[in-house]
This record gives sequence, C-alpha cells and structure tokens, in this order.
Amino acid sequence: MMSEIQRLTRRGLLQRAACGIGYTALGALLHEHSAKASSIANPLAARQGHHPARAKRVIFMFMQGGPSQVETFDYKPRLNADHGKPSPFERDEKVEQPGVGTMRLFGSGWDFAQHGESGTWVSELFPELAKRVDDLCILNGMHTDNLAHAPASLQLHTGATNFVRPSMGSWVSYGLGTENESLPAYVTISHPTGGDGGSPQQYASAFLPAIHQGTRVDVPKEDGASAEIRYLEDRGFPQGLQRRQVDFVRGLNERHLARSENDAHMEGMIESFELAFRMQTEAPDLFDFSGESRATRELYGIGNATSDWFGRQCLLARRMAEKGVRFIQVNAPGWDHHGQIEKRLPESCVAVDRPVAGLIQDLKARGMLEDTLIVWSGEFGRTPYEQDLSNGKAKASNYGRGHNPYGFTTVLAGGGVKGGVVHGATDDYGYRAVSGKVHMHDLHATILHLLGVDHERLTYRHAGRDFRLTDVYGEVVKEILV
Amino acid sequence: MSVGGSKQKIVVAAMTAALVLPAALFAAVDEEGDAFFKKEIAPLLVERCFECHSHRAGKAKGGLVLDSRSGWMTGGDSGAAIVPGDLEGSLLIEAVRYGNADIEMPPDGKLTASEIAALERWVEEGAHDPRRGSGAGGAAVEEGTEQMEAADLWSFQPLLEAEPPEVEDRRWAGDAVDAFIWAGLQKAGLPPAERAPDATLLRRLHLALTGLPPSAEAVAAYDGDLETVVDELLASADFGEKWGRHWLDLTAYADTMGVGRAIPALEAWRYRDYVIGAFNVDKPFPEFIREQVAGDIYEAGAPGKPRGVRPTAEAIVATGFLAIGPWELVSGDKVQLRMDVVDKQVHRIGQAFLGMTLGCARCHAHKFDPVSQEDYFALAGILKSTVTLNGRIDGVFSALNHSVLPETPEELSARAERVRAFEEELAEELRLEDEKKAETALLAKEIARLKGDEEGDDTVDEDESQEIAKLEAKRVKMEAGMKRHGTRRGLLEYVERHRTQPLALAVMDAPEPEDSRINIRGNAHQLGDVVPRGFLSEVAPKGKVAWTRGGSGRVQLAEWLASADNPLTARVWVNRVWHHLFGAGLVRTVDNFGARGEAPSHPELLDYLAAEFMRDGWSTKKLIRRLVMSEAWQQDSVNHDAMVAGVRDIDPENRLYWRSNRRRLEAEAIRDGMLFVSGQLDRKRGGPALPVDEPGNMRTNSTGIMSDTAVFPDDLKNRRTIYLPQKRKGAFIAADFMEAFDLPDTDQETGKRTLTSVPTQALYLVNAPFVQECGRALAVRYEAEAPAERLRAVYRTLFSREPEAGEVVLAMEYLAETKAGLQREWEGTKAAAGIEEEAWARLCQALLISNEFLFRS
Repeated sequence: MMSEIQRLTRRGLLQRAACGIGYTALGALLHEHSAKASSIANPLAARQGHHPARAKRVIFMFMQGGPSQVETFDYKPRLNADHGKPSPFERDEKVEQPGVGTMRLFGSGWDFAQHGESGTWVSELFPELAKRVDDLCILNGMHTDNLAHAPASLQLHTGATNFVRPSMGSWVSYGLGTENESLPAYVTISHPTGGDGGSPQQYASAFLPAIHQGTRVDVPKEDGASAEIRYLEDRGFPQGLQRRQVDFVRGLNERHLARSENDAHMEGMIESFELAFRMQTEAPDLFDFSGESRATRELYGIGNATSDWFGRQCLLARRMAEKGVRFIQVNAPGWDHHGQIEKRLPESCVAVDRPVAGLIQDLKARGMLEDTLIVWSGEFGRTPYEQDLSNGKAKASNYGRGHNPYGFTTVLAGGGVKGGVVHGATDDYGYRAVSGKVHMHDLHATILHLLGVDHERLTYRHAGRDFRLTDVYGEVVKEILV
Repeated sequence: MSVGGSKQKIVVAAMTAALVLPAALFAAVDEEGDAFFKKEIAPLLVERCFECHSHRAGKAKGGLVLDSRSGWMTGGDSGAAIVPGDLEGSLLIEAVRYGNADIEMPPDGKLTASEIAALERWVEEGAHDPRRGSGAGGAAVEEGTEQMEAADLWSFQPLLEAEPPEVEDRRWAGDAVDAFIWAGLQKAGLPPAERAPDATLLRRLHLALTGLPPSAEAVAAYDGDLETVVDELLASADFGEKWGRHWLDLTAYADTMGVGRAIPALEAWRYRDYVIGAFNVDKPFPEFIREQVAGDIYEAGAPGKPRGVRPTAEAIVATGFLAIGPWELVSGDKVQLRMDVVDKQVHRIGQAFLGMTLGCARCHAHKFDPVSQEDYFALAGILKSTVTLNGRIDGVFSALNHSVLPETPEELSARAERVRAFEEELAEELRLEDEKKAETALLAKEIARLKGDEEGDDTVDEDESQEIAKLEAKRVKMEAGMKRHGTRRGLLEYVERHRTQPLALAVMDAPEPEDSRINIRGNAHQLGDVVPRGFLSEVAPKGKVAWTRGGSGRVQLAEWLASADNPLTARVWVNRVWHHLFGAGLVRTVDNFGARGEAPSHPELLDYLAAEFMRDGWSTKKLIRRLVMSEAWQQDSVNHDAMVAGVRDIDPENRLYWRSNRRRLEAEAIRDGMLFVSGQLDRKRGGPALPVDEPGNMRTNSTGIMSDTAVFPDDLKNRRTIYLPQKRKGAFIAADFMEAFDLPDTDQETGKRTLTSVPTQALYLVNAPFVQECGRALAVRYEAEAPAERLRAVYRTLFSREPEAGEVVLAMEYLAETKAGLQREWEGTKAAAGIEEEAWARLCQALLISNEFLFRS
C-alpha cells in the first residue's frame, strides 16, 4: 500500500496539474515514483526484463489463413516430381477435411532459386524478399496443434487453442510496459474481423488488466485514407473547446474527490482522461504520412493497387516503432487458399512482398533492425496434397490446398536472430516437420527470450494458479540466436 | 486402518454393485487408504525415489518408474516392484531393507527405520495407490502431495453454528449481520462510519437493486421510510434486469456461438429472459439449480410419489445454462470438441455453484484443492451423457441442439397465426424474386436484340441508343430488386425453423449414459481408466447415489448441488450476493473457495447467513432485503474517525467494513443510467435480441454469420443493456460501450468483474456519439426552465442533490466560455443558430461523464 504521504503528494500533483501545470511534467513525475505506487501504479511504465534484451520491440505480421510453405520458402523438388501421385501419408482419422479425396500430391507451380550470399531457396513469388534473404531467419520446421482457423489463430496469438488466454502482445505489455506513455504498448493495425479469420480475442488481455489489451487502429483500405483509433477525435467540435470541456470535467472530479476520502479508482479515472487527451493529441501525427518521401512510399509498395494497403500498415508500424510502441501487429488476411491457388496465391504474395522487404530495408537504414524483431507467420501452413471442394466438378486450376498444422514456415528477421539462416525442415513433400521442429509455444518462448523475458517467469495469478503465455511448454530456439 | 476393514468395505461394495450400478463402485473409494498414501507414501517416493524413477526426472533406472500405480505393478527389468500384501515377494521392500547387496535402494543412503516401516505397512495392507493413469500422462502424482487435504479446507467443512455476538451499541443491535460486523470492528478498535445521508442512500439503493439511479421525483417523494422503498424496488421488474445480469456473468451468455465466426444463437434470449424472470419471482435457489442443470428431464414418479415432474417450457429453456457457450463448432476433431464442451460445462457448474476451479483437474489431480482427476471425470461422465451439440451443418460444422418447447393451447394458436404470416411472406418474396428475375431476363433479351440490330446497321440510330439506355436503367433497377428479394428470401429460409417452431437452446439426455474415461493431459484421444459417473468425492453429501435408469445423472447432480448438506452451494451464493451489494465478498475470491482462494473475513457471519438463507426457503430477495436494511450496508463511504484511529494501518482494504465501498458503476449501469436520466430509456422488456431482419446484418450461408457492424433498429437501440444482443469475442460495434466499460468477455464465466480505468474509456466518454446524444437529450429535457433552474434540475436528476453555489458558478462560466468559443468558430455559418443548444449539451455531457455520476458511493 501507498503511504498517506505519497497519496497526498499524488493528490497535490493532480491539483497542480488542474491549476495548469502541463501534463507532460506530471507524467514524468508520476513515472518516477510509479514503482512505489502499487495500487495505482502506471501499469504501462517501462520495465526491465529478466535478462538483457536483444529486441526492444516486436512487429508481428499475421498472415491470416495459412500461407502455403511449399510455394514460398520450403523448396520441395520431390513434391513437384511426384505431382499427381497418391500421397504416402496416413490420413488423420481424427479430423475431417472435405474435398481431399485420395490426397493426391500437388506440386508447386512456381520456380525456386537460390538467393543472397547464404544461397537460400526462395520462390519466384517473393522477388523482393528474395533480395533481403540474408536478413531472414526462415523456420521451416514449424508445427502447431489445431487445423481449424479459429483455434490455430488463437494459439498463434495466445498459446491456447481453446481457452481464453491473454494475447502475446498483452503479455509483452504486461511484462515490459511501453516506452511512450502517450501511446498504448500493444497496437494491432487493421486486425481482421468476422468470418473465420480474426477476432478480438486474438488481441484481448483476457485476465490480465484491461490496459494491456491491444488497441485497434484501422488503416482503411481506401487509398489515401489515414488510420484511425475509434473515438480518438470529435471532428465536429473545436479542439480548444474540447480541452476546456475536459478541464471542466476534471474540476468536477477534483471537487468530488475533495469531498471524499482517497480513492484509487476515481484518481485512476482522472488520469485516464489526461492520457486520453494526450493520445488524442499525439496519435493523429503518427497517422499523418505527409512527411514521408515518395521514395519511402514506393519502398513499401504504397501506390501499387495490390500492396498499397499492407504497405501503409507496415509504414505505420515503422512510425509506431520509432515512437516506442512495444508490440505492433500488422495483418494480411486472405491466405486461405482452398481453391484457385493458381490465381489467388500470387495476389496474396504481391500484397506483402514489397511492404515486408521495404520495412526490413527501412529499419536497417535507420539502425533499428537490430533491436526490432519481425515475425511473419500464418496460423498454420497448407497441405502438399490437393483439395478440390467441388468434389471433381471443377477443373484443376480451381484446386487449392487444405490446412496443415504439421509442418509450415515462419520467418523472423532482426532483433537478435541470425540472418541468412534456414532452421528446421519438413519431410520430402513439405508435410510434416521432421527436424529442427519449432512449436508455437517454442516460437513464443523465443520471442519473449529475445525481449529479455524468461517465458517461465512471466506469470500472472488467476483463478488460483499462475498462468504463462507458454502454459507448461516452450523451449527457446537457441540455434537461431545471434 | 486395518486390512480387515479394507476388505470388508470391498465386499460390501461388491454386493451393492450387483444391485445398483455403477455408483456403488464409486462409493467404495478407500478414503483411509488414500489419506495414508498421500500423507506417508507419496512424499517418500517423491523425495527418495523419483530422482531416478520418474517421468518428471526423465529417468527410469532399471526400467522402473514409481510415479504411477502401473509403474510399480509392471515393474522394471527385474519384474514387479511390489506384490500387494506380500512383503517378502516385493523387490521394493527387499531393496529398501538393504538386505541384498545387489539391490540397495536408495543407493545414496538407507531410509530411516520409520520410513521403511511405513513402506512395509503400505505393501502389507495391499499397497493401496490412488494414482491412476501413467506418470507420463500427468496423473502427476508428485503434485498430489502439495494438495490440501479435504479435512483442512474450510469451505469443505459443514456450516458452523455460530451465535451472533453480544452488541453494546444500540444502533448495531438490530440484526445479527450487524452484530457480527460490529464485533469485528470492535475487536480491531475501529469505529464504524455514520449512516450515509438519505440522498446517498437512496441512490445507492436504487443502483444496487435495479441498476438505475433514482429519479429526481423519487428522491423528492422520499419520506424516510426506507423499508417501503426497498420492498418496492425488490418488487419492480427492474430488479431482475439487474440481478439476472449478475447470474448471466457466470454462464458465458451470448447471442452468438462459435469461436471464430459469430454464428447466430437465435434462441439464446429465452434463457436470458428465464434468468431475469427467475430473479423477479424469487425462485428458490434449489429450484433454480434443478431447472438449469436438469430442467429438461422427465422425472418419473418414485414409489409413494404419485406423479413425476414433467419438464415445462420454462425448465427446458433453463438448461440454456449448459447449452449456451463458446463452443468451437468448426473444429474438425469432433471427439476433442465434445470433451471440450464437457470441460467447459464442468468448469461452469464448478465455478457458479461450488466456487471451485474444477477445470484444473482435467489434466491432473488438482494441484491445490482436494479434487482428483477421477472427481473431474466422474462429473464429466454426466455431461458426456448429455447432448449439447447435435448433428452437422454442411458436414463440417457441429450444430447446436434445439429442443422443441411444449405449448399451451393459446400459444399454439398464436403460433399458428405467426406461421401463416411467415409462410405468406416467404411465398410473396419468392414470387417477387421470380417476377423480377423474369423481367430482368426479358429486358436483357430486348437490349440484346436492339444491340444486335445496331451491329447490322452502319448508321447510328439515336432512338435506338436512347431506348437501350432506358432499358438498361430499368434492368439495373430490376436486378437490384431481384437481389433484395433474394436476400430477404434467403434470410426467411434461414430462420424458417426458428420462426415457425417454439425452439430453445437446451440440452437433453443422450440415449445411453456412458461413463467417461480419463483423458490423459486433457487429450480426448489418449484415454486412461474409466471413471464411474459421480460427484466430488470430498464434498458432502457423500452417500450413495440412486441413479435413475438410463438417465445422464443430471437430476442427481442437481440434488447434490442443492442439498442442504452441501457445504459450498449456499455459502458461495450468499457470498456472491454480499459481493454485489458491498463491493467485495466476505470471501473476496468469489469464484474460488479452494485453497488458493481467500479465507472469509467473517467466517461465522458467512455460515450464519448461509444457514439463514436456507431456513428462509433459499430466498434471494429476503437475503438482499436483510442485507440492505443492515447498518453495515447503510454506512457512509467516508469515515473520518476510522482514519484517526489508524485504519490505514489496521485495515487498509476495508475487509472489516468500516465504511461503504465506493465503486465505479458497471457498464450496464452507466449506459442504462445515461439513457434513463436523459429520458431516452426504452422500457420494453424481454424478447428476441439479434437484429437479423435488418438487411446486411447477417450472412445466410451454411451456419449464418452475424456481422460485427450489425445495425440495431430503433426499437432495440435504447433498451436496457441486458437486452442488447451480445456477441462473443468482442461486442457488436453498435454496442461497443459494453467492451469499453469492462463487460466481461462473453466466453469467460466470472463472478467478479474487473473495473478498469483506461484511456479508451475516457475517449469514449468524450467523443462517442452515444454519450454526446445523451448529453443533448438531457439538455433538451429541461430546456423550458430558466438557466439556473435548468442546471438545478440536471443536478437533481444526475446526482440526487442540489448543486452548491460554487458549482453553479463553475457551470455557468463553462457555459459562457463554450458559447463564446463556438461563436468565434461558427459565426456566420448555419451552425450558429444551434450554439446555445450545443453549449448546454456539452455541459450536460460533462456532468454525465464526471465521477459523481460514474461512481456509487
């Protein structure tokens, strides 16, 4: 508990703030003694991890739907050679998959080539990323627990397939706080909604304090529209008058507080109004790209019809990274290629190829890649055998691939992981991870490790037990650390 | 304990088993043997043997593991380690005695004589080992040793019979509740707070019982007779809307199902209305339990009981308690899905009624509480014998079970009318769609003909091209109409069953009950031993269960839960009521009465209240009435004397109730209150929630998907929050208020909401159109009054008091400055005419979002 004197000091501070001392000063002071003020300590204050961090922040790129590994980063000549043959895998009788028939092998229609000094194989679908391959750490031995979107996406975000658990961004916010108190610690940009793809559960704080939940920022798809946070502004009312209104409310609250005994919740409410007002002032600048050069926009693929939207997400992510947001998520939906993979996969690849490569290059040029961890991943991968949802009625060009949780690719870059590295492998057909296997829990453990956090020690007491992001699992993938 | 005793028990069990299957077997659990093993043997094995012989250590020297029963039964390279009852034949005994130099265990030093004696006694008496499953699977035995014994857990003990203490203070001598609280304060040397002022008390009372603030008229009419006010509020239908919500928090209620996609749960509202109604009629708690757990089951009359209990529509609807939840309908692994549903049901029952976190025991013996994995799967068997999901949609999605409700003749004829109207509409939509389709085709043909004609011509025929444009426009319009009618038809076809039949989301018994097998580490494909259906073995009443032939066992489960001998049910509920009224429970961990929960601050009071609650016919209203009439509840939220007495050091968290807890209002009370004070609240009660008839709100593909951006029609949007449709995984955007103010995640049962103050709330309060509209409506409500009186009226409505002189000055200043500011900004524009109105709206909004409105003291 805080001592009475500290409380009075806080009250004094708030009153001084009410008398016109700028909140910036107040914020700094609050921050200084936040460690002591347990009951209303600023839960977003920056904190040290358990060991020195390699990465200060994470940019997590959610490739919703499950990108095909055998057409992107996992080169399987044998699969191409055996195209059309029945697959040698046992069917998993536990799960139901429509339209896979005899599971005939389905080769990649795109060529692979070796790139960079590392000579890493990358498909022709990613020409820009291929140029940056020496910065990439490709995990080809990924595997996860569930083959349906919702549970698998939930696991990618929270570690659990089924239970309500905090998102990894929330865990990071809870563990490390933010470096900029005018902005939330965890932001997710244009998070997919509805359908089988996205759900607010993926960025929810569950039982962690609500302030750690992901703040949703929407980058509209329309060209030129700037991003927004819901209710950030009231454009119909002059800002000066709004400041006056917020001050009036604070006056009311101060009077009310003076009539009462100290009350942490009421003081918390007063503070949250101030924080909100600062967000209201700072966030619009963040969303204003007018200062970004034409070259930068082009670097991110902004302006190209297919990559514009994700490009603007990535550019906003960089701007947030610069401002000290701890965990930034960008989202590219639409990788669920059950059918027409021939036509639709290239579109999905173009949408992200230049933006991701551009972001890596831009961060590198700004000296930020070394302490920014980029994570590019779907919730699972796709089957090396064909899927035909028409049950034989459609032509082969309409075929696609089913969900595959047994083996897929996740790509990392920056933030203390080795570049130009391929870790782990699937079998000859790209179906099951067979070596260098990395489970979702291992990925989470590794991300936390790079941030300086021991995944076994970042816990929260809830419903009678201590919870962690990795439940009772997770091994840090040491082989890929710098 | 004696060998003879154990054997006798088994013989008795075997005889009973022949008569009543299968519970008798379950009743034969050897409690004494369990206790001896847990206390004497398990710690010894963990400490001295596991280092080399357990999955935990990853070692099985000589092929032997001792972390499970099957471990020593199978034994290692030298054969079985223990032969129960045969000391000389048991290698383990030989080894620990250090008699044979080839096998001296543990190798790093002989056990003490008493340790060896304990092992000998254990083996001699039959080596009773309650551990089931394999050590690898996680029946994780070593953890069992940390577990609290049932005998040591306060909440498993029968209710204490405590006499209320003697009270010297007249004010506190009225009710036993006050006597207990007063005695606690007295002991700590703390003075209680004064009684709260009337206005404060009225506001507190109205908010606590109905979730709405008192109207200015109600405050003005108050004549000091609080008891009458309490009775009126308890009798008002608003009561159920407030207290029903508290119960819904424990049930993961929502109007959509599925985890990934928002699949409409069109009948969920019936359960919501059932709960509200149950609180309004003050349904005795045992009946409330029975209906929710087993309301669908027809109970045949027992001998001497002439008639059985037939399920009423209401009772069938009540099983929505089990039927509605975050089921992952899309999951491809249906076996696992089924057990996941069962898990959530076990968890929900455990938490809501018993305050136990049973989910922990799915994967291993509960780490802290006396709940074994067998206990968990005994309950799981009952739910596994219950149908929640029934059938498929498109072969992939699991479908929810819908039960058809019995109807009265009046309901039947009313429905016949609805069915007729529905069929008419469907036929009409079909006809219109076809008509438009035909006309579209005709127009297309005509256009093609004219175009074809043109191709033949070299000259531009202006008439023809004009004709084409005209026809084209007509075709576009026709096509749009066709689509509109097609969409409507699609919707009607989707909802047909729901509109023409009286359905409820309810559970029912499976054709054949089946016991569950242990799922190793919660995996439904890795199975361990079969566990006969039953209840928590350490919780009374523990006697034999008379299972009904063929039934799942839910009737018996409800009886067990609602038994006066069950030490948890009444305590947990009484504590929940206390929590909602006082702001913190006597046990503050309202959902956890286990070892990791908090002990009660006033154990005698809790037990006294639980006993009184049962004596009063398990009446929640009587309980609430008694509590709000207590001096303890009516205290002020300020207590200067206690501060002087050093309360900050003695009881900083107010566990002794030396003042009333000030609390931020819950999401519903904020929203409902804003609508109420601004005169906008729509008092329509009950009925379907999901606005599926609005075009664009729902996709009618296989399962149906509600859109996040679903529009709420006018007759829905100003209703009390409990009637707004609730989506899983975040609210509908039209109801985003709920999310901003900590409405609990609809997938998580919770008896205690977190109350946060985060910047997004402040942004909402300042910038959301909803709040601004409420400010505007509030300003309009008193616009006929002169400014000073207008402000006073607003204060009375919001805060149940008159403004102070200083407050009037501040408000008028703000008003004047805002007007001046707007004048500068809006001068010469059309908006200038609305400046006065706008400034008042902003003033009212500011008052609405101030702490005095958002908090209850």
